[in-house]
Amino acid sequence: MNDSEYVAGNIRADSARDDSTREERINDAFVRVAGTLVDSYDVLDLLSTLMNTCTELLGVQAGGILIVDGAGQLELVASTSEEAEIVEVMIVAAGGGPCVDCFSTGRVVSVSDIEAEAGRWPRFRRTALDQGFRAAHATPLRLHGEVIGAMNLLSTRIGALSVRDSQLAQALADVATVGILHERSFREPGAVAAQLHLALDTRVLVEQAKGVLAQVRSCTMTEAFAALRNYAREHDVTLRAAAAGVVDRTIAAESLVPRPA
Amino acid sequence: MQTVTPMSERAETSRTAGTQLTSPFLELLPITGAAISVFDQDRRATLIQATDATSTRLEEMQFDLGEGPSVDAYRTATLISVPELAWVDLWPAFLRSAAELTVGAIFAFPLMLGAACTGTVTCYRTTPGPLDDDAVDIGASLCRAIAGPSFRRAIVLAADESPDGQPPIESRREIHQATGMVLIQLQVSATDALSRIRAYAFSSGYTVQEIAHDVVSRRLNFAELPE
Repeated sequence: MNDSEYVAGNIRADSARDDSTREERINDAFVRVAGTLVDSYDVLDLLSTLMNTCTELLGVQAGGILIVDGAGQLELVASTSEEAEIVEVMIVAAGGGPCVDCFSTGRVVSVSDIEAEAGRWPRFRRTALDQGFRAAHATPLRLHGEVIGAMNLLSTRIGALSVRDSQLAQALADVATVGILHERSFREPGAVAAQLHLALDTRVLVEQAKGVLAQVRSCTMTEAFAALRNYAREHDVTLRAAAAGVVDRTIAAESLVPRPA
Repeated sequence: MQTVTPMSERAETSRTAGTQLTSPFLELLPITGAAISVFDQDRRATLIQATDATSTRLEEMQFDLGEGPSVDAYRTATLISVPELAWVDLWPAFLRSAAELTVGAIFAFPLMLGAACTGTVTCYRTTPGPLDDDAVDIGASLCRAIAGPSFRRAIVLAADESPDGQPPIESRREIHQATGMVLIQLQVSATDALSRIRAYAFSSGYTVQEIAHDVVSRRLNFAELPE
């Protein structure tokens, strides 16, 4: 997150120049995402990349993708940070917060001042404020009129996203939906749900692998995730395959190098 | 061998809570009934939900006898397909009991939380016949969707956790992370690591979430616990 860009993007001081840079970055983001969709790709890796791009472009500090599980609850599958504090805010938002409202109504829920929302989501409000977040923006993940989850963005500054930024958020959320569901899913009935469920289970497997790495390498969970991701990229395997290998010990945890995220 | 938890009571309390978990199995698979069970340490089972009396009986018989397709599905973490119950020569005691029921085929799916097997979904049909590949894929996918919710339900039912107040959602990830750490500490499978965490929580009076948090915070190491 580059703070000076964030200020420029919002105040729009020299907007012509900034817009072209921004446009390039938006293009770059879509090209990057499209590129990952061509070959075999890993859903969680794609979503993490997408969330980082999204928060960067929109000048917000944290973001997460949540999808619905078999009991109708939202589960966090990807986020800009694996740090427990950020993850907690995201998960609390999924239990009772803008994400839930967004998911149940299928509409964008914009909270320009979290502190002012005293009555609505007390627990979310407390957790978000504790971590320094002041505004939230939840965008639905939609497919054929059905809502399959939500993308949650958190900002440390009070204020709503501009209409343009809100549209960009929706476009990126749509890309995320395509990423989760895979091109194949649109042709095969039942495959949509299968992709969703696989993404949920992959997240569990990744958490177990992080635990294995944290124990073997005495590293933090964030470092463990980065190590797993790097291993997957270097060996051209999916994050799921890397995580499965680490947990069933066919990939030696010792060979993965923990590094800062 | 295996001990039976008071299942009839639990089935009663859970019937309202987990209604939606089994329904997609009935909707999408060519089966008559289904039951979801979550196993804990020593393979004691908690019935999370059953669609009908026959499903409940099939689970109870297997847990009583310690044998049957669901027991094997849990043990091997693979789908156990029995398209023609009449032709099977495994599980003699279970088959003798099951003969009193109208059951032609049984398909026992493992419930997986990542690499840890947590229980089974036992589907039965009154008539014999196999499940085709698509049905097997759909069943496996449905299991992924309900594995997390079923496990959480089992924890609440086992009184490991207080069902009131806020759901312990933010610690879900820590349970999986702790599973990974404990499987290294004890050099066991993910399934056994998760069972040990649950068992320790139960015996020490703490919640599964609290134990997981202590493991992840490195305040608790299972390798250092007395046997």
